[in-house]
Amino acid sequence: MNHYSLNIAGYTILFNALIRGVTLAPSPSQLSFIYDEEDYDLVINVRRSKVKMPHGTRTVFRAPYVEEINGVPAKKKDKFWTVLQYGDYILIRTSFPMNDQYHEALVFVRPGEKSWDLVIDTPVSGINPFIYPLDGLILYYLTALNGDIFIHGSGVKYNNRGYLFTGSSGKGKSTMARLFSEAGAEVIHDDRLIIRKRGNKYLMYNTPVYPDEQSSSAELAAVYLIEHCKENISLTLTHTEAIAGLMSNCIQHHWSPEHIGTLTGAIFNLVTGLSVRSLKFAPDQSVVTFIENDE
Amino acid sequence: MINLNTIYFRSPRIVARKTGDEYVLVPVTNQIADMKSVYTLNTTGAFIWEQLDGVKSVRDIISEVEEEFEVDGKTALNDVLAFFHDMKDYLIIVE
Repeated sequence: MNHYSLNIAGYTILFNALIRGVTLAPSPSQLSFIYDEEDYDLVINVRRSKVKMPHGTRTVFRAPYVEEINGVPAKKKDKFWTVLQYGDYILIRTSFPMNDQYHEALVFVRPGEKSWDLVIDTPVSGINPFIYPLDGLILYYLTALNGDIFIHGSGVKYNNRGYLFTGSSGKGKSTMARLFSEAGAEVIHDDRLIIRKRGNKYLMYNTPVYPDEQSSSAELAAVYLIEHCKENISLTLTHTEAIAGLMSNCIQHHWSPEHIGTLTGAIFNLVTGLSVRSLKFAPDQSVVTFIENDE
Repeated sequence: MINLNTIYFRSPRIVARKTGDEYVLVPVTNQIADMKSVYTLNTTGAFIWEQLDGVKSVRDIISEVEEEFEVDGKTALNDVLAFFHDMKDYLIIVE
């Protein structure tokens, strides 16, 4: 195919191969997100080419390649992806440490515009334009520019109520998803979610990560900042504590004061509109009942 | 060591969000390794933060704290010095 569109978190993204002979090949994780709709929120024009940087770019943010070994982050390479400014444009240049067939890519993000460009340096015949880390980087800038929240957390829908459990690595996100799944809940995602304000509601959405990922969402009823404990304890947080806690778990590139301001504003609105509490939890089924009775 | 005659400014590389009488401070950074740093200021810290106008010295701010919170000079001095000590560690204030 030379184009396809995805619906992720309510955004319709069209990937469009600009050069004849270039075909696009979405990965299995994207299949349930493919959406046949002609009203696009974002069009990403894809070209196969060596990456050439325009003159006059300024590097604003750098990320090394880090792998977690037994839960401990270990830096593998200094260079992974870089964010640059070029006039009003944001450029994201990335390598692909986990895939030898993809050498380099450059995303031209145009804030306020519906059309971005993606240049990929790869010899493969069917290009996956949403291959890691492009997926997270594209979604980050799409959501950050629209005032959404992209957060590390596990989200579940249980008895028609949506709960988000957020915390840094090792705090219990996957454990909480497993416990609620065993209790019959639908797991929206166990690692990262997009939260969007729609009207007076907050919806959480999954994104394509796992090969069998199904597009999923739920209205949020409550948010918990979690950590392991021997018993279940829920604590009220001040707005300041809740904002700081959520900010720490958000996917964010802190190079832009404007983006930071937008995110803190979105989180401020969330903590004033929803229940956001601290939860110390015992890793067994008792926490499911505890949450049900906590509100 | 904090010189009481020094005039401090709020760093332009901090985004501050006021919530009630408190603040959340987020440093601007160009490294992913520094991104987890988010700081909070309680009511006293928030008041001191707001006094950092590039005009008032540390000594002036101590007087302001004494008056605002109706505390004695020693308490105000300790509060203000603790604030500057912590904030200088976080590189939040530019002299």
